[in-house]
Amino acid sequence: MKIKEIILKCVLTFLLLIVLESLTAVLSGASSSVNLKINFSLLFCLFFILRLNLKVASYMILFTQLIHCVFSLDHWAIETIAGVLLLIVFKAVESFFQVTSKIYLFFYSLILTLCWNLLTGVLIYFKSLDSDVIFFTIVNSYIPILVQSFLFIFLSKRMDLIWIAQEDKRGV
Amino acid sequence: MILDESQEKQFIHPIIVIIICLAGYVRFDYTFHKEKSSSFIEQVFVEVLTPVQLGLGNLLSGGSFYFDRYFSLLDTKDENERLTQENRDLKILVNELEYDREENIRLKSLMSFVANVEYKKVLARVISLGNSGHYFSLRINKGINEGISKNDVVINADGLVGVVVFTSLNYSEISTVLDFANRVDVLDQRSRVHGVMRGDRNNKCLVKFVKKGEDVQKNDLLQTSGMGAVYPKGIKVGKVIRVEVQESDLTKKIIVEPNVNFGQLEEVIILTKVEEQIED
Repeated sequence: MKIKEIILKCVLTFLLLIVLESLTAVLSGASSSVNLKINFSLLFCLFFILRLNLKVASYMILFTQLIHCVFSLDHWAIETIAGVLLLIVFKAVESFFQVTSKIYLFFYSLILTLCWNLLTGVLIYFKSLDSDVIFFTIVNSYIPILVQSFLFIFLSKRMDLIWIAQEDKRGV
Repeated sequence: MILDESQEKQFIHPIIVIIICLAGYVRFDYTFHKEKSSSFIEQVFVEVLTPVQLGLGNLLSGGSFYFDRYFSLLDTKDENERLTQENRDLKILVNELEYDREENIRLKSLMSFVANVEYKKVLARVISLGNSGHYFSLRINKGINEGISKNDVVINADGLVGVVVFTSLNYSEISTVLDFANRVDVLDQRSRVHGVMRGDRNNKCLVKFVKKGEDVQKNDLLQTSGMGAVYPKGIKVGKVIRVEVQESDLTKKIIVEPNVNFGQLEEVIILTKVEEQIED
């Protein structure tokens, strides 16, 4: 894939991310649903882990988290480390899985989001030495995780349109 | 697992990214959420992207505004009468409080009050909630240009909202009392027992470090204690809704409902420090 093509895909992806992040911030405030915040940056990263190769995915995770931290107090470094570690593990065992159907996409998103939250919890714990933080990051987010996993099925299809060329459905 | 040379080369890139991130991770300060000073690049991003966020928000709220307005006008007359009566009562209350305030100033000067920190009040509008799964934050439409700085305390008419943790020229980020990483030293108004409060699940807060024998009961009101040099003393925080005591624990677990309704928060007041003078 040419550099020019990748840049165009990146621009489209980040524009979509900015719009979704903005809408989440505004809508979650308007609906008073302070606990139901959909983390679209995480869903984007899960797509990159699933569909892109190691090289492109690792930088895309970094840039996605840099944009996300503009809309939240999440720390870009913690989120990126968690994302890239998951990327490495997933790519190492990728050949054992075939994440193709909707149900697989749902469980892929569910499991990786839980692992992501666990990793970020552990990384925050190393800084805060407050063990409650690991428990809190997982327990406090079980409803958004379920909703996110459903959304991931639809989002990954939209993202496929941007990232996966028709002639090569196997990935970048 | 056997990797060929091209696959091995691919692993270099994630490792480069992790090394870049480790540099950021070392600088991460959990208590104040981000690096101690807000970076220039981050400030530029916030300044550029927040108007986009605002535009989308206005577009969405525009339609619902006219719909809500029609229904709210239906009972305006009754509400007007109720507010007029409430206004009369409040004027009486203000007169009484004014008398108490003057008396308080006199007594403080008599006791040679040591540290006198004055605050300038800045009114700001809440633009959005933070999109974090871990932290509970708000963004407001006032920043460095209005004299807001990190660690400024944020309140509204109901009580304590939180503390400023990030500032750019025209916007600021507030870590609320619902935030897990935010710690507030609180005081029971009735029994004067101290504790440390932080955010918990389901929009409630948790007070820790209160010994089993200490007197804290359901429906007790909590306020800031003034310890910790961030929050001034006497700001209303919330009400105790549950006290849990377990045999194996040395301390009580106290669940608190914050006074502020974060789901309907529109305006806040930021207390910016003006001067700090030490009197003999």
